[in-house]
Amino acid sequence: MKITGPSLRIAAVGALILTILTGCGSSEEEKPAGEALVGTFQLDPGHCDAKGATGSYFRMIQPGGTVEKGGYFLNPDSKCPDQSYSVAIAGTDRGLVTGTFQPGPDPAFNARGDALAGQITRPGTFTAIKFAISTQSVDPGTGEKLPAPEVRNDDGKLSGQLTAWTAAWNNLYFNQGSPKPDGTTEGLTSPVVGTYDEESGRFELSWSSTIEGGPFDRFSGNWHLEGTFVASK
Amino acid sequence: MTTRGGSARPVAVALALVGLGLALAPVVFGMFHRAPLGAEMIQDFAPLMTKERLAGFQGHLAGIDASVQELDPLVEEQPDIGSPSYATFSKDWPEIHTTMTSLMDQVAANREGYDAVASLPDFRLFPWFFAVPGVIIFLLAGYAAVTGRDGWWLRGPAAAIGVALVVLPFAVGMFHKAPQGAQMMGAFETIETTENVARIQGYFATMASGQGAIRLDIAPELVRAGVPHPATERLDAEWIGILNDMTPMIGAMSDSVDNYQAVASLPSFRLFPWFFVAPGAVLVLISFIPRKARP
Repeated sequence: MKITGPSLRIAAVGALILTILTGCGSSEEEKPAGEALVGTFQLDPGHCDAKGATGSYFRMIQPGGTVEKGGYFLNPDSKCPDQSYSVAIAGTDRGLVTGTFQPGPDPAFNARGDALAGQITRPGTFTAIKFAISTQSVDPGTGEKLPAPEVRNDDGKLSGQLTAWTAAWNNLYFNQGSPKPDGTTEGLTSPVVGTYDEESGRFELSWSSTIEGGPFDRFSGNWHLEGTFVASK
Repeated sequence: MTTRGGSARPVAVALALVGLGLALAPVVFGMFHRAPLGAEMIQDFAPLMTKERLAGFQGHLAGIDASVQELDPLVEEQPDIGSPSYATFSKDWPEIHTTMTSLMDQVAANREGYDAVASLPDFRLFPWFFAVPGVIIFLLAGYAAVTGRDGWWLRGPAAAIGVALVVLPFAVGMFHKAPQGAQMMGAFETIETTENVARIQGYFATMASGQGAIRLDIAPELVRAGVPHPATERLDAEWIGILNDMTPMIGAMSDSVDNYQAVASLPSFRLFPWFFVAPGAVLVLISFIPRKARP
């Protein structure tokens, strides 16, 4: 068969269209792996000893530090031998609920600046003032809309987004989610990762999140949650 | 009355150039971006820059110092009541005390400068003070230059805008306030840096940890031993108030680093009144250049 000039041009245009279409296909957002776990991540209480902590806990890292080595902000109200650990105890909802928000009460603070939210964890004490966790549909700092927490299980490996995870203390809010509300992972912010045993429901989740702005600008929270997942009925 | 011809053009071209300069000045100096950041900085500091609040910060530092001065000899006498956190705090306190007191002195000394700047028209408006009259004059004078026309329809608005530009700095007290603002900006140069804010954040962490050791370890031991420690009792009683007060101050300082840098990169505040008066006077002078009579 003889290939003519017009045929070549048609073939070239066809190849170009095919390339563009293929390109468009590959630029589509990848579907998140695994299935969404919708329900309550019921928290084990945190315990600590001379070696560190187990269960659910939180550490605050000073600017310039690392998750592995610190330097850590020592919480004088922590009962742990290593006061960089502040352990958590499940709140009235027994833990983190995915697919919805746990915003806490309104007003969120008392006159002393103690944070009052107690659905996910009981308020803990941080340098004499209670701090609390909530998941907010709107970031109190920036006013941005936030997605409801999502955790996915891919064959025992957990991933997801906890962008709405918000700490409150001393009349202030600190976004402690990952990724951050603008979708980035600035500073020490690291993806939500963990493990899940489908039979027992046992899970571990951890992530870090760097604070942007305010008195603790560039400080980072390192979060570790452990417990049992119970699916919504 | 309108005149036509070559004699009108030089006046129109001169006015157009002044108009263009006024319109472009905010763009050249990045004022559309920087002025709102300045407004944000002023807003962030507003609740903290009162005489009472600033005196309160100094009082807090004096209160902490009184407690350390009270406890150091007691801990030295009875080392078992101390703790590693308190030891770190006690060792670092002289530096923290000196640095923080000096910083608060600097801030307090510039409170009037802050008030002066805060009482100027909203910073967000400043670029528009130049851009709007600049565009109006440029359009009128540009039309006059192209058509060769001249008249009060051109010179009237140009003179009025010129007078307004000259009067504005006097009306808002800019000649008095701008140098005070410049002095404040100079004083904040060493305060509003990332390094300084990080140092203060570190001090805060040390103070919080040290006060925790005092509140939870040392003070209960002193109570058990029946040792009077009034300054420490006062500090413990006031600690929540101190946190409520100092945390927003650190937050405002931290949030204002970028805003300060943006404002500091503008021309000196001292020059601001002249940015109004000089082009305003030129506009008035050009507007009153006599027109040549029609032949």
